[in-house]
Amino acid sequence: MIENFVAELDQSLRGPKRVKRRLLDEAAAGLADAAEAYHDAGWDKKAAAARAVADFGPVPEIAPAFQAELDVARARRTAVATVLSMPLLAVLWNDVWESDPYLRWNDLPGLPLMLGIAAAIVAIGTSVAAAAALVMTGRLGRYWTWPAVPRDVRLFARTGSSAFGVACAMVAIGSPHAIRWLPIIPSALLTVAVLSFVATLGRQRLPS
Amino acid sequence: MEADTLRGHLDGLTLAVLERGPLHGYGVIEALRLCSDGALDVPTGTVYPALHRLERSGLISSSWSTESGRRRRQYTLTADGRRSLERERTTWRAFSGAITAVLSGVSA
Repeated sequence: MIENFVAELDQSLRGPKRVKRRLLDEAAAGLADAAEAYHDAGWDKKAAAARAVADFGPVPEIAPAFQAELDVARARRTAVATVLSMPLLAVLWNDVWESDPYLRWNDLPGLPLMLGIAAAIVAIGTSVAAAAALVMTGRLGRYWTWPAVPRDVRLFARTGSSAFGVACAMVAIGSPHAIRWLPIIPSALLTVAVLSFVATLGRQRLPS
Repeated sequence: MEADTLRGHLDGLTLAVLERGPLHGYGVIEALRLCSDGALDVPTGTVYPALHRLERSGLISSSWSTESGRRRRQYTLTADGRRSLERERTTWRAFSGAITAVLSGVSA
């Protein structure tokens, strides 16, 4: 009975596997402890397990609290990826641009340059916002609650990734010679892969 | 007591029962029942996410321990948790004092 209940709870939850496993393992251990306590008090094993499950609460009632923790765990993972990827990609592109014989910032036409700078500022801003979410869902979570953090971090990741992509695209548009330079191709492919990963990391997943 | 009434106080209550010493999840639930003489009887399933949230906030820490051959995660109040509990107590005393004063006045 306890196994079936934990399996039902498992089915109703979605989120990072490690955190989910830990929560479910603890729930299963707590249910086993409760059933054992009832059994020691004179209940037969089946009734003791049924009572432990009843005390735990129906899945629809208790699952939202478990899901909230999983959502925060997923948001934190997305925030880490956002915070780390933007500066690393910025360093990569800085190296690419500095060694590119065709590309000079000064040579970029006005509009692509302005759009590129604006997009870069947005990317930096979302990275900072993701860092703030990471702090506020950690130790500072005791002082403030940020109920919409899973949705907001997903937005930061998508906006930051898109903005970084726009900044790179502006360089390609503004300096067509630059894209003929061979090392820019693997850099662009790596950037697309990283940004796609970050942008999709926080998406909602169906229960497994 | 209604589970909804208790839910807002679950974090403080959990910190309070851990003040006496480390406990695993079911131990926390048992301590809540015993300390309140059975009046605090929340769905036990709500306690595990609360413990996870308190640990994330640095108010409690956890480690694995083995009891009777079973592996259990044991929770301990941290120094920050102790300070938070004190704040919770102060706020509660002020709140309950005010409510008691008003209700007593109304019934008198």
